[in-house]
Amino acid sequence: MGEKILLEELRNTQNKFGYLKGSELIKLSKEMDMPLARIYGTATFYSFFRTGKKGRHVIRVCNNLPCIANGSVNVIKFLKKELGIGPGETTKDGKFSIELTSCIGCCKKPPAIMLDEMLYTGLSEKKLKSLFEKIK
Amino acid sequence: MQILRKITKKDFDSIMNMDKKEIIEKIKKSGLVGRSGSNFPTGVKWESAFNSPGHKVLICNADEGEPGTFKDRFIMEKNPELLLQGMKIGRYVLDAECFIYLRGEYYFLRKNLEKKIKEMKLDIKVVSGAGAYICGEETALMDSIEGKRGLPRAKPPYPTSSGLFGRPTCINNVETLANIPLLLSGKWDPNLRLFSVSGHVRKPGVYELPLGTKLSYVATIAEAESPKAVCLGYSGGIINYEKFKDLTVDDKSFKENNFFIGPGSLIFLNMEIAKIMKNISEFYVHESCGKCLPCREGGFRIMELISKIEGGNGTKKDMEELKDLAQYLETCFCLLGKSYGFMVCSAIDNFGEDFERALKRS
Repeated sequence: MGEKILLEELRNTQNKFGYLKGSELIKLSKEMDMPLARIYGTATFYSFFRTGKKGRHVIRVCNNLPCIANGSVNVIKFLKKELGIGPGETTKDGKFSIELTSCIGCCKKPPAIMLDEMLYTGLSEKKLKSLFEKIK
Repeated sequence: MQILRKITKKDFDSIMNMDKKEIIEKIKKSGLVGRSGSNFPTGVKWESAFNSPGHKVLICNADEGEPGTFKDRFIMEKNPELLLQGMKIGRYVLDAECFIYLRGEYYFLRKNLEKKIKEMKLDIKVVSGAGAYICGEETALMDSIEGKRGLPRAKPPYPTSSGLFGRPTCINNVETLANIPLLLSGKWDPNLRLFSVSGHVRKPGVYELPLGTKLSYVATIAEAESPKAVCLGYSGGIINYEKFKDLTVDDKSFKENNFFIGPGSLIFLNMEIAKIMKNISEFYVHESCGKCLPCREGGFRIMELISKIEGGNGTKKDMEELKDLAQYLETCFCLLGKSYGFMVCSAIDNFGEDFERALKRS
């Protein structure tokens, strides 16, 4: 089936441009011979895709019970202190966005976040400090 | 652990030399059922796909997204070869084109999986999800691979007759596929299951335990900290621990008490039921695909009512409306909405007194 998979094309496009630009979706529509409405519909359905600019790096904080039971609220507090933003917001310099996310499967080492395409677990204050020292 | 066993080259070559129909018969006789929680007999599914005309598709459903579930991740991290051997057998039996639909959150596993696929000279395409729990539903998963919004399809037609791009498609969970080489190489205990244990426990993790284990035993080995409730993922019900700690974890005992093992997730919590339900409702509202009215509208209203109750402002009328809506969600198009309604009913049935207390606060 050498057909292109739209999910993969959208992910590659987003990684290249930071978000799913309209002009790129129009290009994809022609390349994949798919109606633009279908492509836009798919682009707006999935949590990981964004059709508007967000922070260069997206921090997704797990917001389900195993992480909540193990201090995910402290992760959010730390991020507020460190970056000055909360869930749903982007830093003024456009570097970071924070979102709440559904369970990311790190329940063995809670609390956990997803930063871009990597998972970071067991986020004590110490671990958070060292992680942000590296990426800030 | 049985799930970490390595199949010898000799044993694997023997399996690949078996007649295709013989393999299907063996799987049917083994009693292996879908480990996503579907409990559908795997041999029957493979046979159904085998007998359908057309170029078949085999999809590994690695979109593990039920909160508190991480057993498939465990298999893909610790013994990916076993999963890939299961797919190789499926490819052989069904002469199928193979995919792994890997949830976007597990993207970090993709490079290694693709490396192993290359090493084992397999032809399997990995597709990454993009953060949609509903895409773990097999028909929504197929729509997702087809480039559409992940909306569930009506069944019939069943995927084994008309699935991905209309072709006969067999979709199996990671744990199910990993068990295929184990059961075909003779030494297999069908009673062992993987349980993802998490929450207010000192030793969270994946535990391989026999069906029939007591819930209190799981609480002991995972060192649960004064559990009040055990959420069976976000779809199997909520157990009142004090009342049911001697319950054995098996399909019969669970069903008798209106619980479901599902993918085997046990979230032990020392938390108020209203707070638990608030998070569960927020999850479902976020993950609802929006296709059907009861889930989209009823589900949202349920979240509003639970928030009100959790905030100490709930009235008896709110409780009545909540019970009504929870039952109404039985009419949802797919299992996501139905499970949402079921969880609310389970919370009310098992923690009625706690809800009464929450109401009295207002």
